[in-house]
Amino acid sequence: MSNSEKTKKVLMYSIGNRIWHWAQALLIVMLLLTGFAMHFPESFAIFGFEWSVEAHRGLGILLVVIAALGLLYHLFSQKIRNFIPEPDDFITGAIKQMRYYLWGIFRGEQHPYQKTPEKKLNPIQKFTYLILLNVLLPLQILTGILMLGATQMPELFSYFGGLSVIAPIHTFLSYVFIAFLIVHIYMTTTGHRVFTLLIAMITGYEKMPVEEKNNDKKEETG
Amino acid sequence: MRKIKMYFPIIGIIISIMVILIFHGDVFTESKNEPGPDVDRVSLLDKEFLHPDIPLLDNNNENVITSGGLISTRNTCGGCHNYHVITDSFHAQQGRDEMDKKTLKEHDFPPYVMSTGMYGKWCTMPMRQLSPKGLKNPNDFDMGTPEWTKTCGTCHPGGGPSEYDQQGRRLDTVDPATVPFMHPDYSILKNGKVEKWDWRESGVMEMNCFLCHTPDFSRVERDTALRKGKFGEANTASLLPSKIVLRNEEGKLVYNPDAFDENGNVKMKMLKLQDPAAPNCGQCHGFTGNENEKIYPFLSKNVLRGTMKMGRIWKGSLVSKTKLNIADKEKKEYAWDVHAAKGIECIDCHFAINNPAKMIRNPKKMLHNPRISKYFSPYTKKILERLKKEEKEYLLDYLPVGRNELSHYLKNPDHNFAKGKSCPESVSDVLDYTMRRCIDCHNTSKTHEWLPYKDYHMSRVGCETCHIPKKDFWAFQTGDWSVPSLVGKQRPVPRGIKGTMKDIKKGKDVEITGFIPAFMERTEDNGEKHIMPYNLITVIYWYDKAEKRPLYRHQLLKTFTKKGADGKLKYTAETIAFLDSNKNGKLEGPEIKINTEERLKKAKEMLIRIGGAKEPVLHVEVVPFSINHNILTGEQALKDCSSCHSERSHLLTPIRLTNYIPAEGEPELLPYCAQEHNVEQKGLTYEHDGMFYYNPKKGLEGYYFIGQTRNDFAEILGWLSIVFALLGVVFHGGIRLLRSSRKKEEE
Repeated sequence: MSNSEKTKKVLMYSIGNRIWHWAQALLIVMLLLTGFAMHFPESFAIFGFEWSVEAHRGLGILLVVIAALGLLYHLFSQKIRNFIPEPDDFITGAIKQMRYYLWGIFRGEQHPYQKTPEKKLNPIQKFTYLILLNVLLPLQILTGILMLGATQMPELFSYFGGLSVIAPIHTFLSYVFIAFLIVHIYMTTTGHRVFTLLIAMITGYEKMPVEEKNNDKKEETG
Repeated sequence: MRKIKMYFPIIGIIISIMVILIFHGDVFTESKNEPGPDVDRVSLLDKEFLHPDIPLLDNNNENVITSGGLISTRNTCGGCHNYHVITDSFHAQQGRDEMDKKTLKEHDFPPYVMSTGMYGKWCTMPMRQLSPKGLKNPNDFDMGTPEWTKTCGTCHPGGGPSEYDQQGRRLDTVDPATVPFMHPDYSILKNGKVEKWDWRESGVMEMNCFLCHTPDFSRVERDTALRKGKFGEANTASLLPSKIVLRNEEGKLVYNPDAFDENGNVKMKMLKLQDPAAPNCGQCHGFTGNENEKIYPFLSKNVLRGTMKMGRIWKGSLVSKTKLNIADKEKKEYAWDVHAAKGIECIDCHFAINNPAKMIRNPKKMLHNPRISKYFSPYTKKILERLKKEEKEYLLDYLPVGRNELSHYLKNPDHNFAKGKSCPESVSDVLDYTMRRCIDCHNTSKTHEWLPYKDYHMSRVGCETCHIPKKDFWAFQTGDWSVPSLVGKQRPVPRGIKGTMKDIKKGKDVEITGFIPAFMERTEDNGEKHIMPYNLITVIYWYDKAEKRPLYRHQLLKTFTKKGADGKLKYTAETIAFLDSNKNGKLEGPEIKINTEERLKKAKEMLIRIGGAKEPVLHVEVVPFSINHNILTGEQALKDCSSCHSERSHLLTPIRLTNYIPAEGEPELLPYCAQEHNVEQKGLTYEHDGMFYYNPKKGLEGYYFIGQTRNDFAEILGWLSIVFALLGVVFHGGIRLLRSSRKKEEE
């Protein structure tokens, strides 16, 4: 990764991708902030309890809408395949990627998987998003909806154990989301340069090392 | 044949009349009671008092103005109103009609409890127990019916146990010589000895109608007569403020001739018969009165059960206007009770169960038990049956009160008043939840729209919890019977004042700070559980494990005190010796407590040797008294979310139970109250700074207060995930930085 290394700019994220990502990011951060303002109303009194309740409800509904739209888009565009691990990813791919994160990255080795606009995720990322999007987010949304609808559907609410069961799960998952955010933000520094991935998610273009044999038509030499 | 045909219409008419008579008898009954054209309805309404002038009759049915005898309400009021129906009510019977073993077993009372009501039920505060029949040992005799009438009678309107014995005989018709020794109805404990009581001399206490149906009554005069054992005089004495009855120079009760008309009837403008008003009920159930009335803080003859137990005051005036020394009272620009301020009377919610003008026509509540419905008029029953069939609950607006229904009620006014259900009250369970409740008058969908998760809040939090967030008066906190006081009673500790009971008794104007109730879970009739406010009164008392009953007061007095030459109680030298910490030869309040192993051992030894106890142990019993009055308006009620949803949640305020920790016993909720509240005893209380506290976090364990409740498992696991993520980032990033700087150096 020397300065003299040749790089190319690749359009990695479309405008739609970026809006979707940042909207989700903003909503999740706001949900975490308002959630914590409710959970620690005195030590984290940034908004006030009453406002936080209302905001949390509204933001939660918005997140569900955006997540649902995203799901539909990925389903109909068949881009959901990007998130589904391939057979090789399970063992060989995962070990290869894990080896890179735990060893190769420190030695300046190349990423084992070349990122392309069609294949943005490496095997570890696929597993992470598989769990995040199929377990954590739906569970968080489900527990949130149950609490939101405690008045409208009290029987269902009680069936799942009421607030004493649902609220701790919702709280625990929010901690996990924070942990994910910490790791997620850190992982943005593992691109070609520290801010390469972050800039890519803002501008859409990602700087990538040039491989002489396999030039992409979309590339612009930088 | 033609002749027979001629009679067909006549036969038809006769059959029709018969059918109508059989199936719709009420139609005729109704019309029979129609007021005639001579009744001037307008002039009737214009009258100051609807009740006609009446003669006051004595025991022999003679007019007292001529006989000079004492008033018999049985004869006076019972002439028109069914005295039997009136006294067949829990106010009169006080549990006397619920002394059967089956009922007691259903309540899971301990074996020494004899009834569900105040007549026969053990209560740790007065520490007195009605004695059962068939006792052999005078040491086991604590209280007979005569003493119950003398002392407890002050909050008992008469009739029931103070008129009839447990066999159903009128007490003043029985020669005490004919009853066995220590018969509880005809015996009294006097100077440590069981003596016979002659009701023929004392008279009986008939139901005191004046106490509740006149504005000019004197509970104090009545109480004085009772304490002197002049039971027959009590009802007459209570009329002294009305000036119908006067006390002559010899102290005898006489009648004021000016109060009677030429026919010997008492003038209604003097007697002023009326529906019971709040001050009538307040005589026993808590302070009431007008703005100018001074509320005496403690032990005045006007401070009563409801006030001492729950700090209850039923007044419509502003707290700021009181003459009491209430902390920050100038800021308290709200009524003691918003319902009182709006002119609501007690009987609006706690109505006579068959009063057609007040009753909630709810067949589920009213018809399910013959005990309740037996005094309903046929008309009411028919309506209720119809509603039951149609599965309708509330149709009050559509049901006119039938005139025969009113007349039935006036003749047979059931004095079983509609009531709720709250521990420790256990009398007359068939009437539970019959009263008018908040939702019977208030529509929360209109008033509580601002509340997020309204229905959820309503399903978990009782109205009282937010509308009685605090009490501006004091109430009992602890009653300590471990060593009785020198007036032969418990040593009480109040909550909600700055100062001590001694200060109050000395007349010092102590500051009343009020108190926050204890919030506990209550199971309602429909199985729903709500958070409700309570005052917890903790009583420390001796229990005899071998006898399986509490130690009686006379045993305690005999053990720790003696009568001085002046007739007053004094602590014995032996008592002083083991409790006098500062060795000044006198016992002062704070010294009197069984708080060390040494003191406990000595007290037990004395109780066995002197008091006749077999195996005494200290019990610490917590009695939750439900708080349902002193309702604040929406403006003063808890509205701010953070009152409950915060680390310092108002609902989870720890409540002090005792000011010291006895050497034996852990606080336990009164057993049958514990059942009702469905709480586990373990961990319900905790020790802090040498005192016992109620732990609402344990009491409300099933409740999740967002902003307050923490699930340890979720919290620990959640924070660990964050910590691991941070550590991973720091470690991984650190190595990357290190490697990168080394690489730069190498380059």
